[in-house]
Amino acid sequence: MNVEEEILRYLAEKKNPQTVEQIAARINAPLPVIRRALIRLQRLGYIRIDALSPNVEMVTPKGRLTNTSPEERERLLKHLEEFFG
Amino acid sequence: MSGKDIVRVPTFVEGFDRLLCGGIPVGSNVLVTGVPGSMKSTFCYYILSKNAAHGKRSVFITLEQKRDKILLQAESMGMNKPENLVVGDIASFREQMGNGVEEDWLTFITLFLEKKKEEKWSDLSLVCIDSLNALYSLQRHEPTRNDLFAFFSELQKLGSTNLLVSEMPLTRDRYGQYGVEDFIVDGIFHLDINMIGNAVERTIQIVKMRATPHTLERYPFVFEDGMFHVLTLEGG
Repeated sequence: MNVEEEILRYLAEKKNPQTVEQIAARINAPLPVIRRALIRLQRLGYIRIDALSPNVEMVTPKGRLTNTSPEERERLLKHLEEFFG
Repeated sequence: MSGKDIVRVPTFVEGFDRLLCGGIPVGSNVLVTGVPGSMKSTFCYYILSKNAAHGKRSVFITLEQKRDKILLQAESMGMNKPENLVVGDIASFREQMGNGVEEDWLTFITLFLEKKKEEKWSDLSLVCIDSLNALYSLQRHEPTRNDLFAFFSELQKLGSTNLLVSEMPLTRDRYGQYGVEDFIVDGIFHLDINMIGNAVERTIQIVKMRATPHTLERYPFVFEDGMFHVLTLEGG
């Protein structure tokens, strides 16, 4: 399991938003790696980061894991481009 | 409120822009609703195609009819696809990849539009999603009120004017599938069909348009010589 999947799994277990520090304490990876993973997950639509708190929460319906991994979603978005013209 | 200082997107429907004080306020989410056969898709394609012909980047997303069919239908009505109009064929994408390939399509579509806007379509002006009902049916879990609110909010962040085609429920007690859309969107156009003897009359009604004083009347609505016309007593 990569860092992004670990973060998603952790957030799915927790119903309430988690702080970056709480996530970092649970994920076995350096903080910069976790930060990069969080930014990528936000860009791919899995989580929302509140810049003021900073709290992190799932944005997928009902806070569940999706069946689409971040890699798969990125690949699908790229593939979808072929159907636009 | 006169609404005169607001930047608006013209519909190029003769007589209709006057009823809208010049057009749809830029950045609005507008529900285009009606029963089957009321020309919702053609009406939206027309608005995007006319605006694209005037240099505005427009993206028409079809979820049920394939691209070729849409283009053929449009061409048969005298609407050739301008260069600035992009037609996204999610119907074919679904056929190739399967519906289950993504379980949160509401997020997926908005992500795609955001990504393309960042990379290529910085001038994105108009988007049409045809239809919301088809998009909802792809969601693995029925969307909650919060999901719909987030979806419309993400669309609005694009800054484009968004036309959202919606099949009106047969009960006619609401305009969007869940009713929540009626409150969230900035505008609602209701297209309808009435039988007068053996003749069919199409009508259009502006049910709602924020920042725009308008009547709630239903106006006869025709397509002739490659143009939509709304017939008002004042003419033109």
